[in-house]
Amino acid sequence: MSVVEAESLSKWYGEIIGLNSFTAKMGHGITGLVGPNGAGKTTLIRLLSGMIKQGKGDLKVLGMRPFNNPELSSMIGYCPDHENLYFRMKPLTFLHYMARLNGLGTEECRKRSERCLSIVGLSGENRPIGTFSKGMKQRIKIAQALLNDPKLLILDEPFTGVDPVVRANLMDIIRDLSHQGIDVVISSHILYDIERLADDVLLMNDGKMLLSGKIGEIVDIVEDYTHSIIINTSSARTLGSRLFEEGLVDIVDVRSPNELFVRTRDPNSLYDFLPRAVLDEGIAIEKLTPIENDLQSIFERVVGK
Amino acid sequence: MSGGLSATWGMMQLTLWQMTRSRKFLAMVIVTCAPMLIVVYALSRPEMNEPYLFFNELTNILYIQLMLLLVTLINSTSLIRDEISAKTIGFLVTRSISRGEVALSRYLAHIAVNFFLVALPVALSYTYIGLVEGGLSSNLDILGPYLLMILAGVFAYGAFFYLLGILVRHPLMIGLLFAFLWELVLSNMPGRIPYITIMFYIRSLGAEMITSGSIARYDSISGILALGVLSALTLVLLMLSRRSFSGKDLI
Repeated sequence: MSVVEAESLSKWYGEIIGLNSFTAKMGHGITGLVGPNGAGKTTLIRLLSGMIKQGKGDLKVLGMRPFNNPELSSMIGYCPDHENLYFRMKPLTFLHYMARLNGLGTEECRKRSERCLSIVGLSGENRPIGTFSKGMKQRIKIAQALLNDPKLLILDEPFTGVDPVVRANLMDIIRDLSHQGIDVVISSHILYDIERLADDVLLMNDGKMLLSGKIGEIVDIVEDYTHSIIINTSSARTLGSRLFEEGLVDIVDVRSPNELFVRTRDPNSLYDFLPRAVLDEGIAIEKLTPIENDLQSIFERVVGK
Repeated sequence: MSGGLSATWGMMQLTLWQMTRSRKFLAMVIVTCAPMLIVVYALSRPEMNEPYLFFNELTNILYIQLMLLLVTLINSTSLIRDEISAKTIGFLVTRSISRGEVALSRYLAHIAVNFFLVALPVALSYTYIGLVEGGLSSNLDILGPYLLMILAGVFAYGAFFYLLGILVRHPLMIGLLFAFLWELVLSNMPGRIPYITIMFYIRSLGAEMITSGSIARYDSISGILALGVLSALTLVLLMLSRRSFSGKDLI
C-alpha cells in the first residue's frame, strides 16, 4: 500500500488555484516535495494533514481520507512551516497538553513528552518557548509531531532560516526517525535539502507535479545545477576567503561585512564545511538563505525536456 | 478515562490554561471587579439607606447589561479565531480528537471562565453588603436570580459570539454592533421589539424572581419559557458552530 495516493487532486482558494489536477503516489521511506514558493507544496501538506478539505479528485493517506479524520490523525505527526507556538508555555507543558489531545493518560503524557524532548535534544529546557531560538522552535515542533508514535511524519519546510549546525542536527534527527520505520513526507524549496535526505522526490510547480522518482534519477537529470546561498555571518570576508581556499565555491561576493553570497556546484561539501567553520574555527554564522533561482532554472529545463 | 474523553478533557484544560494565563484575563478581572469600589464607597456614605436596592441596580445596569456583553464578546469571539490567526489551530485539529469535540470542549471550558469573570464581583459585592449590613441571609433571593441570569447569558451570548468568531475573520466590530446596538438599544424599545433580543429573555428570567428595582419593571415572559428559549437558542448556535468548524479550511 502506498503511504499517499493522490488522483487528479485539485484545490482552489476562491479564484486562486493551490493544486491543479495533482496525481502522485508516495511510498515508504522519506519522500521530498520540492518546488519554489507558490508551487503548491504547503497546500498539499495541509491536505495530507487534514487541515483543509480537497476540491476535486481523490486523496488517501495510509488508506484513509484525511479531512477531519481523528483515526488517521492518531497515526500522523504534523509539523507546520510557521514558528507560531504557545509562546508562554514551557516545552514540557506544551508537549503534555498536545499529548493529552492524543487521548493519552497523565502518566503516559509525561513519559512521552520527556522522551520526545530527549529525541530532539531539548531535555531540561525549562524556559518559555517564546524565548527559544528558531532552531529550538523547529525542534519543539518536531517533538510535538512525535508524541503519538506516528507512522507518517509530515514536515513542512523544516530547514527554513536555521543555521548550519541546527540544519545538520535536524537532518540527523529525521534520518534516525526514518531508520526507526517512520515514513516521512518533507517539503522544501531547496533541492539540496531533499537530496541529502530523501529516497524519492516529487518536483512541483504551479500546483502540478512535474517529475517524480528516486532522488538519484532526479539529480542526474539536473546534474549540473548550481546552488546559491546568502550567508549572514559576523565575518563575511574571512569566511569567504576560507570557502575559496577550500575550493568549495565558484563565486564569492562579500556584499557587506555581515553578508556573503556564494555559488557552488558541490553543496554537499559546502554544507559539511559550514558546521566545522562554526565549531572549529569560531566563525559565527547566523543564518543561511538558499536562493531558489537555481531551482527555477531547473524547472525551466525539466519543462523544456 | 477512555482516549476520546481524555482528549476532550485535555482540550478543556488547555483552554482554561490559555484563557487564565494571559494579560487579557488579568485586564478583564480588573475591569469587572472595578465596580466593587463603587459599592465600598457607596456603603461608606451615611445617606445610603437601601443597600440591596443599590446592589440590584448596579448589577442590572453594570453587570447584566454591560459586563456580560463585554466579557462574552471579547472571550468568545477569540476562542477559535485567535488560534486561526496565530496559526496554532493546526496543533489542535491534527490530533486524535474530532473537530466537533474541539469546538464543544473549548466552548464548555470558556463558559467557566466567563461565568467566573462576571459572577465573582457580583457575589463579592453582595457578600460585602451583607457583612456591612450585618447578615447575609435576609436578601439571598436577589443574588440567586442574578447568578442564574449571568449563567444563562454566558451560555447564550457565548454561543452567539463563538459562532461569530468561527464564521468571520474580524468578528469584534460586528460583535460590538450586535452587543451595543442590537442588544442594548432594541431590548429597551417599546412594544414587542425586545422579543428579538437575547437580553429580553435574560431579563425575563430575573423579572419573575426579583420583585424590586428596575429589573422588575421590564416587560417579560415567564421564567420557564425564557429559560427554554435561551436553552434552545444556545443549542442551535452551538450546533451551527460545531458544524461550521468541522467543515472549515483552517489556513
